[in-house]
Amino acid sequence: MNARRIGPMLLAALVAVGCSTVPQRDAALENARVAVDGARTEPLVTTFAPVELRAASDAFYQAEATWRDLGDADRIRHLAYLAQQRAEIAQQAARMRAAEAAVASANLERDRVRSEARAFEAQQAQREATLAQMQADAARQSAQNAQTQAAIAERRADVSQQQAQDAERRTRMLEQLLAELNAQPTDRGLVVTLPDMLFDSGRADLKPGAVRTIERLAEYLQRNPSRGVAIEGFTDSVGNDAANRELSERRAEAVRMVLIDLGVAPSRMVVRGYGKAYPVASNDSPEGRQLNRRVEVVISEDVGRLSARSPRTER
Amino acid sequence: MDSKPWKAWIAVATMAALVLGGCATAPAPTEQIAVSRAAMDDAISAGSTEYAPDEFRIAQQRLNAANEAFARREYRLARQLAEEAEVDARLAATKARSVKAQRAVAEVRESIRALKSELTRR
Repeated sequence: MNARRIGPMLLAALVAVGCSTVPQRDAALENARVAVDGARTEPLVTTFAPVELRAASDAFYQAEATWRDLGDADRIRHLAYLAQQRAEIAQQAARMRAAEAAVASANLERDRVRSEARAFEAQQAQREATLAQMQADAARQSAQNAQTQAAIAERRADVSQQQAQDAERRTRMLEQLLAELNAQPTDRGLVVTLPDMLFDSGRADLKPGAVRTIERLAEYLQRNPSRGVAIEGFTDSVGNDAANRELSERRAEAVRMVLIDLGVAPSRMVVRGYGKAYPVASNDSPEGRQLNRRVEVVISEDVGRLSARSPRTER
Repeated sequence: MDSKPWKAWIAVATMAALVLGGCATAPAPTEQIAVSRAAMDDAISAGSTEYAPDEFRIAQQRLNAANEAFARREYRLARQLAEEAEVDARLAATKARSVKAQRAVAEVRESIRALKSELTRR
């Protein structure tokens, strides 16, 4: 070996060493390795950012190759930095696309909820409309009911007016009957006097003309079913007292029989013969005696108040 | 072999020149700076000044440094810085878009929640 050649060779070796370094652990490369491995093992990244992940991996392989080939330390740091940043880009791109996908599905969800809300509102409106319809129907029904009630009340008013008219007519009829019977009000009740001339002289048989009066009496009693009747016979003072009492009683009894024939219940009637007692006129004149010969029909307020004459009520 | 020792020196000088040239000189990275500039513009339009301000600032500083190195004709350094500025800008843009998308998710979910609670309240 020529000693003169050693100098240039040494120089060349020194120059070569100056441009490259011995491979050793490089901090920047380790950071890049951690970042790229983190991206590779992140499912979100492999799913949503495969292109960016590939770029980061390629950048890392380039940096690692340069390191293995004993490349320039500054260049290794540079390439490692590019790889690390690309790994971070992959991470961010993955999150962005995941979020975009979530926005898309959330928008679908929101549209679904919105249409649900609209359907609910429509349903609500339908329900309210139905309710309003029901209320309207109910109002119409109650108006109809009120109308019906009014009609019923009107008819009732008609009926009660009719009844009032009937009652009035009945009252008038009764008054007329009483007037025809020439009934006299007394403290014992209404008194209808059947005069002597309605009977055969000295006998208890009623003349046909008496029947009309007794018919009216019967009609009045039938219209006033709660009233009782006392039929009392009287004579003048001529003749035997016992005979007079018997005659007066038989005349009263005759009237009672006719009233029974005309439909008046026997239980409503009592018969008494007073003879010459209780004269209504003087027995001294023929006119007075004729007035004393009579049958009085006393119509009391009710059957239970049929009372016999007391001496005090003598007239 | 020892007939021309000066030839050996010429060879050594040539080799050293080549090696040193390989280390010190490089073509002007005009294209790479344009690419980085475009990535920067994209980051701005993505809203990174608001949604990824740290990443944006780093990218901007690197691009400025690249431009300064370019002006000093340190092309190798300028290329490195420009390449780093490009990935910085891309990261800023991607992060800004990611943040916006995640906020959009939150907003839509909130609107769904509000709709649902309005539904159940009625």
